[in-house]
Amino acid sequence: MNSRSHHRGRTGRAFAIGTLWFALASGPTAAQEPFPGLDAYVSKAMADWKVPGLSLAIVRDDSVLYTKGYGVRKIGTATPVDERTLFEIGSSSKSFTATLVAMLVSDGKMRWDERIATYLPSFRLHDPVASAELTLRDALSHRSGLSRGELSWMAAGISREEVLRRVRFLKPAWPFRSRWGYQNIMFLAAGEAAAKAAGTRWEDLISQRLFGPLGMSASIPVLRDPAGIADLSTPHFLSRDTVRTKAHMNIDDMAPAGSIISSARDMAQWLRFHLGDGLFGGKRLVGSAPLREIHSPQILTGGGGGNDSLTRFHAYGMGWFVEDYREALVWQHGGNTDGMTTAMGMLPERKFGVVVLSNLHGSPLPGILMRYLFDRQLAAPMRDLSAEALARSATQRRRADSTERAQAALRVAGAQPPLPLSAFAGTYADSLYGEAIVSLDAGRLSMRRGEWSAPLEFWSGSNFRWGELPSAAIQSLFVRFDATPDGKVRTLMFGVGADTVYMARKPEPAARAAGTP
Amino acid sequence: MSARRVVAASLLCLAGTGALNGQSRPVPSPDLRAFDRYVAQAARDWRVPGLAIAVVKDDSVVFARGYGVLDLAKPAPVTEHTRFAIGSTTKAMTSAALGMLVDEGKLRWDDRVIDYLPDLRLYDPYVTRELTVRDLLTHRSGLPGTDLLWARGDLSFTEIMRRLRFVRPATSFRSQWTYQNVVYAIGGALVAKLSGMPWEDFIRARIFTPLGMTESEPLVAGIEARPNVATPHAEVRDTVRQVPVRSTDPVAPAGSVWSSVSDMAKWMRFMLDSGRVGTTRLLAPGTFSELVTPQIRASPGTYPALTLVRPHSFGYGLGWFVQDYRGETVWMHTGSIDGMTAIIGLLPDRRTGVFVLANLDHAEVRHALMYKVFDLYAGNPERDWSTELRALFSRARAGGSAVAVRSPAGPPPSLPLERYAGSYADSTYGSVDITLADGTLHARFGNEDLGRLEPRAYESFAAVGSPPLEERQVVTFVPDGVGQVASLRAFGITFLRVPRPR
Repeated sequence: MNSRSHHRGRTGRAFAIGTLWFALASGPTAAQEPFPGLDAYVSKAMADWKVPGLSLAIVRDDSVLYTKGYGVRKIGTATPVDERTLFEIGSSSKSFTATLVAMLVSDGKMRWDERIATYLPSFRLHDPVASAELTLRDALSHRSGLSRGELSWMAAGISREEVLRRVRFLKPAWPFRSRWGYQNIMFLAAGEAAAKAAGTRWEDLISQRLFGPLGMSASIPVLRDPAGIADLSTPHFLSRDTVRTKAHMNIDDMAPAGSIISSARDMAQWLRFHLGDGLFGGKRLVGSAPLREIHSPQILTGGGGGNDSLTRFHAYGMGWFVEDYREALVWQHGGNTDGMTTAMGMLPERKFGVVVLSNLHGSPLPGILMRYLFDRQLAAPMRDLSAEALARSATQRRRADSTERAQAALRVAGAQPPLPLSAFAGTYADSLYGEAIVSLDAGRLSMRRGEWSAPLEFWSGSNFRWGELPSAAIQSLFVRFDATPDGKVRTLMFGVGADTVYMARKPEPAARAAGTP
Repeated sequence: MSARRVVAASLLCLAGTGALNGQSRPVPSPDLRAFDRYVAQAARDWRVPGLAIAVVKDDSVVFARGYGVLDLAKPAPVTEHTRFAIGSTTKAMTSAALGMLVDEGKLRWDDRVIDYLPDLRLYDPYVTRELTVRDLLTHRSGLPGTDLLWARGDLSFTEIMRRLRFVRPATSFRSQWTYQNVVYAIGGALVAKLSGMPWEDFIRARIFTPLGMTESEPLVAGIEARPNVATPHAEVRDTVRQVPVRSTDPVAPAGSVWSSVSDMAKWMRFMLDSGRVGTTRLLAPGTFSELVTPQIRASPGTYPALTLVRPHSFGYGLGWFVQDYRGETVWMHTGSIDGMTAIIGLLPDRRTGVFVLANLDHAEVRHALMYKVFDLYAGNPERDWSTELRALFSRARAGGSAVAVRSPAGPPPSLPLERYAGSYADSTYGSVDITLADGTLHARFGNEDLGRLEPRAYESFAAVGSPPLEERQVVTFVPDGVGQVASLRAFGITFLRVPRPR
């Protein structure tokens, strides 16, 4: 995999012309690196972390200091990444949704402490107090008390409306407003509330109120047709140390929480806008007070501890993490999609901002490069953050390997499922997580749930391995079936992160039951 | 004061602490003589009758002395052994006491209070059931301040706690930090319940004695018998006068300790050594760090001085504010009882601490001296905190308003004065008693004599307190429309007329 700068050693007229155009079009921002050694550091780190393609933008004192692309859009192909290459920015989109709400607050169309239920009358949560009281502020600062419940929307193949309808079945993990708990569905609720208040769809609001005025002409609010977009980079993930490609995951149902597609060049304008306190090109696009509100700590996140005393406090505003780093104030929000990783952060007191986009799932590299650039800007004693993180990740990988070996060890050779495979077939459902259909075909079980369909391989006891799933984050899951003593399978369960999904088998129609062997 | 006297005072303190064991770390040497002059000047500029200050660094007391007098009417000088009210800096002692009980396995921070105090009843049944020890100590119960409950002086803590069931929450549970002395004092009730001894005995046995704090009193009631005790003062219409001692004993665990800077230097050394006295650990490391880990965002508006400091973060742990100052972590807290002022400020990463006590109500010179010490020991450039803060607070005072200005009286009350006399009550706060004597109405709230009622206009009166404070409180009566009085409004609370028995 070639991760060095793509300019050198290339022949071919078409490409040469393309390069020339690129050099002309980028103008002064494609100039020399602002911190000597930056390009070399990035290139080496990409090789170490196996990142196929990456782009970054650096903004200082309201000008774009540097934009650069490294590596390739898709492994095994030659098309280089540049400042215009599009990436999924994931949860960095939350800063856009929060800014949108700030604009509507500025317009007098919304209030931070207005209830979501005022804008979305059918909005309901499990806890009646939270249901009635949840405000925009609560939703945008992750203090609903709900745990993540991601499987309720991830690859579920349902609409935004249906996601919001189902969240009433998600039991709270903590008392309302007592603790910070990252929650995507609440961000969706805030985004839909904004759309309702403005009388237009969230994606149109993003285009009209943000992308347009900020000149973010290449950016897309939500990806609908990947094949039709030039400049789009491919998602990748690591599977046992090998980089593989995958398809873009459809997250239309969660758009306000993480669907934006953008480039380094465009994201540089986003940084300039926030560093400029809401002013852009001499024009004020949002009231200073509402914008300040999203940058102000609303709640402590309880993060931190450990040896890194460079950050002493960890808080969250609205759509922004608010922290300190080496005594300087930081506003940042990373993004993780199924196949791409983003880091985005600013030192507002230094009028300095950085965005790093990459096309590898769950990669620590963008975050590392953001801190590296902060260190350079703050003239801090230089540490090789990438090398330090690599050393730490080796330990994590050993742990993950041993978990995998432990799972494999559970598999008993020659063991048979406790019941005939046909006993497991059927439709299983849960109010929150939807339906899963287990079918038997040519003597093999498989399970389909939403957009995921994969074989069910018997493992041990009544556990089956469901995989490979078309997801970078969740490549396989162990599913356990529970039956009554008379051999009727009643439920299945599997765990995703901190959430456990239970589904109950739907009763068979009478005629079919009669025919079951 | 001569330089020799300062050095001598410091040496005496060092000899007194006796626990130096040859610390070999080099100590930056700030100019303590210049600092001494700075403090003396500040005490004069802020018109403080008496002030004491102690600074510890790397487990040594590097500075400890007093300035001015115990009482304007008496010439006795303030020393580092003079006792003042440390006010809410007591809270850290209560949380440390609970930490000791955690270490003994008698409770956990997230245990429900109701499991230990089953009679606890709050307005909201959910909060009653769910309130934890941690909630008590982080001011996040959602209740508004209820200091009137103990300020009236005639209610026991048991009764005060019983009345919390009538207090409507101001904010939703755990969402916001609202300083609450009564709820914090429930923490002290837990100390008593779980240790089998009164809070004050526990504090004495488990903190004062092991630390050698012989000049400290847990209760206000105990201070009268002690020597070298400062008298509270307040500025009343540009004159500094003595004011009566306010007993905070009903909520003692929230703010009753009286102590000297000499003793508080021992407390600071204990805190800077992560809960150890010499080689003896009084708190497990995990328990100690819980005390000073920020658990909730606090309100920076609490301290106007922060507008000059501009921390990035201002949070509250268990009885401690935790903030950043020029990249340093700060653990701090103030104490403000009528006529007295206190502040504790620690830079744990530099093993530096400062404690200021003074006998002038809300003398914010305390913040100035704390940041001055921080600058000295962090090697920051010189900043004239005293002058800057004085300018800040005098601007604030000019802008503020009180019921101080006498305005010409408006139309007279609509009813004969005897109709206003009687008892008016609120379930939470008790009764306000209005009496008529020599043609003038008087008001009383518990043990507090609010003074005579001067007519302002219509049914509104100003209760003029007696000297020296002569505080003015607006009392407004509401007639019932058929010749009697239905209620009165004072302190923002409506008190309903108690019908006279026939």
